[in-house]
Amino acid sequence: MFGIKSTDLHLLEAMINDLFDIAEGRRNRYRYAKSTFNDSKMDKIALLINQRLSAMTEAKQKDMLAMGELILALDQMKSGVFKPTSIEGYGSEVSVIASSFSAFSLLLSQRFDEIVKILSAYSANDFTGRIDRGNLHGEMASLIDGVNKLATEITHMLSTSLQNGLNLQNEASSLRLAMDQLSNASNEQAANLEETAAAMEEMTSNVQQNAQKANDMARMASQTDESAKQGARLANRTSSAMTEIQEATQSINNAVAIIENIAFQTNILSLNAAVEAATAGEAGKGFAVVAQEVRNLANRSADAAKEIKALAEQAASKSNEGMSIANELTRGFEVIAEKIEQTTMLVQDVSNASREQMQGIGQINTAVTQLDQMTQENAKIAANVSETSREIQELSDEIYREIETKQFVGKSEILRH
Amino acid sequence: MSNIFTTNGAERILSDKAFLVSETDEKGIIVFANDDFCSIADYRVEELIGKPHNIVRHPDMPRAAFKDLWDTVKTGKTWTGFVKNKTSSGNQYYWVYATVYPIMREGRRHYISCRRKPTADEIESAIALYKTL
Repeated sequence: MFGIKSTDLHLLEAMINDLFDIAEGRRNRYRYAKSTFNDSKMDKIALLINQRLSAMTEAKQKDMLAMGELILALDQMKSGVFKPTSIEGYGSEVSVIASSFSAFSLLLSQRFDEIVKILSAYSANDFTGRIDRGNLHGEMASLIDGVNKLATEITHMLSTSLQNGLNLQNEASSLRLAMDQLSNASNEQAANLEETAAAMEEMTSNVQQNAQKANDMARMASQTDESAKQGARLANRTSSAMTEIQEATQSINNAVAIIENIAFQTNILSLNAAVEAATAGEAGKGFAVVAQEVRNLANRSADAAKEIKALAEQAASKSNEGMSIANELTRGFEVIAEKIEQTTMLVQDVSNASREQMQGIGQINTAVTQLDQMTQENAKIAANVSETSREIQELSDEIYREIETKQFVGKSEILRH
Repeated sequence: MSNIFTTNGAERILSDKAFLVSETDEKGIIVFANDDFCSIADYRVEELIGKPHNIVRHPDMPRAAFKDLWDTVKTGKTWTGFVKNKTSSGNQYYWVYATVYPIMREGRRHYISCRRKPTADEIESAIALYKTL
C-alpha cells in the first residue's frame, strides 16, 4: 500500500490506535514516542504525532484539572459546602461548563453568605435585617421569602412579647405596691387588735371589779336598810315611851291638883282649927300649936305640889320635844329607807349593767379573737401574695430583659410608649 | 458505587468512568476527597480529611516514585504516573493513573490529584518499571 513496508504500516496502525485511545480517554500513555519507521520519510509523521499529542496531552491535563476541581466542588456541595470556586478550562467543552459552574457557585455562595449572615444576626438576637430577593425565582426566592417571613413572624412575636412583658411589669408593680400596702395594713391591724385585746382585758377586769363593788354596795345597802329599820323601830318605841311619859305627867298633874286641893282644904281647916282654939282659950292653946303645925304642913304640901307641877310641866314639855324628835327620826328613817331602796335599785341596775357589759365584753372578745385570727390569716395571705407578686415582678423583669437584648423593627416605638 | 470498580481477587479494577479526585495541602494532608476515591479506598470522607495522603500508599510502591512526584510538583509542574494504592483494610489494592497538579488555593500551595483507570499493559509496564527502582 503506497509502497509502505508492512512493519511501518503496523507501527503506524499502533500509533493511530494509541492516539485515539488517548483522545477517547481509554489510555493514558503513548507508547511510541521514541519509535522510528524503517522508511525515514515517515518519521515526519511520527514527529507530527508527537508534537500534536504533546499539545493534546497538555490540553487534556488542563481539562482534567478543571474536571477534578469541578468534581471536588460538586462533592463538597453534596456535603453542604458552598464555596465560590473559580475553575479555568482550556477552551474546550469543559471550559464552558467550568465557567458556568464558577458563575453558579459564586452566585450561590454569595446568596448563602447573605442568608447565613442574616441568620447569624438573627441568632445574635438582631432581627432587623432582611434579604433582598433581587430577580431570583423558584426555590432560592422561596428560601429568601421564607427567611424574611420568619423574621417578620419573630418580630411580631417579639413585639407582642415585649408589649406583654411591659404590661405585666406594670401590673406586677401595681400588684406588688397594693400587696405591700395590704401587708402593712394587715400588720397595723394586727397590732391594733393586740392593743384592743389588751384594752378589753383591762376593761373586763374593771367591769368585774365594778360588779364586785356593786355586790358589796348591795350588801352594805341591805345592812344599812336593816340598821335604818332598827332605828325606825327604836324611834317608834321612843315615841310611844314619850306618849306614856305625857300620860304619866298628866296623871301626876291630876294627882298634884288633888294634893293642892287637899292642901288648900287642910289650910282652911287649920285656919278654922286655930280660930276654934283661940276661942277655946287656954285649953285650946296646945291645939292652936297643932293647928299651926298642920297649916305649915299644908303650905309645904302646896309648895311641893307646885314644884311637882312645875317639874311635870317641864317633863311634859321635854317629852313633847322628845316626841317631835322621835317623829322626825321616824320620818328621817323613812327617807333613809326610801333612799336605800333607791340605792339598792341603782346598785341592782349597776350589777345588771355590769353583767350585760360582761356579756358584751365576751362577745367583743370573741369578735376580737376572730378578727385577730382573720387578720393573721390576711397577713399571711398578703405575705404570700406579696411574695407571688414579687416573683411575678421578677419574671416580668426577666421577660423584659430577655426581649430587651433582641433587636427588631418597631421595638423602640413600643419602648417609647 | 459498585459500578465504579470491579473486584478480581485482591485487586479492584476501576471502571472507565471512575474519576478519583483528592486535594491536599502543601504537606500532603488531605483536605477533601471525592466519592469515587472514598468508595474505592473504603473510607468515609471525614476519615480521610486531615490524614496524610500516604494513608492509601501500597507497600509495593517504591519510595523513588514518590520522591519523583514531590520533586516534580514542588517545582510547579504537573506529575503523572501509575500508582498502586491499598484499601482501608489493607487487604485489597487498586491501580490508578494519577495526574498531580500543584495549584494555589487562597494564596497557599495545594495539590490536586486526579486518577483514572490505567490499562492492563500500562499496569504491567509500571510493575516492571518499579521492580527496577
